[in-house]
Amino acid sequence: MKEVLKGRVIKFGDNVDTDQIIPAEFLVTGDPKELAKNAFVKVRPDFKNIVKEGDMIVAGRNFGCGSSREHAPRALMGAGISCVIAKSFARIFFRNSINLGLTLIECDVNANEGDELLVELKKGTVKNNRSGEVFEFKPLPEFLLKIVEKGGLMEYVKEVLNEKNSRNAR
Amino acid sequence: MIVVPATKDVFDQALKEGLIDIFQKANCFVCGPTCGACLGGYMGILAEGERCVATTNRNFIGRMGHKNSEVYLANPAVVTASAIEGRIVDPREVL
Repeated sequence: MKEVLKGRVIKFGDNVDTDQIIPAEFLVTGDPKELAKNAFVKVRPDFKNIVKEGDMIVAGRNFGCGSSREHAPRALMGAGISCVIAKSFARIFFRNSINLGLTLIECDVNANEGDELLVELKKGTVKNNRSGEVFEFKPLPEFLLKIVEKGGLMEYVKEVLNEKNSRNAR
Repeated sequence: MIVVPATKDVFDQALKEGLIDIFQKANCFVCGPTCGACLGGYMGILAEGERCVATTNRNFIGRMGHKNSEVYLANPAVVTASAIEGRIVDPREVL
């Protein structure tokens, strides 16, 4: 995980639910790239054509509400989304995202579609490079940052177990 | 009308109480206790323009099928009365 992210804004509103992010009929694979082909397909069918590697989603309140669906963060990651910035997140989506290695930032930012943002994860700032405005957020706790950095909970746990095993072997 | 008992225990209880028999005679379709149309899975998912009133818990866009289908959420009394009338009604109308 990079500590500084730079990307272009794709804007969404409040209450984006997981059925919008990836509808249930496409939950037939866990492959992020395959899932990405149908991300937002019902509510924003052009999403897959406009999204580029490194883009950031900026949304309002309660992003990721609805069904628990690990495919939702996976679809976003497969589409190349580097982070989601929202006023608030639904709790299950929040946990799923961290556990899968998707960076989430809880921050109320002024940004339009297509603006370029510069995010400093440990410093807790989002700068809008178009307007020059800087927005502050509370960085994720060290523990969660570490999970995201490792690429998710599975990788994190594997590393912890490997360390433990190599200690025991000595 | 699609009837989905939430669990095996509820299914068993409905069988004992004779409810499943009543549903069958009323031309309802009774599924096993599992996921189905509620998340647009299978058995009765909605086509474009179709409308459903359900006792399930989510009515997001396209949740039960086509993005231009409609999902209304209500209690069992409203849903049952609506199934009888063929439109969404106040259950007191059919009592």
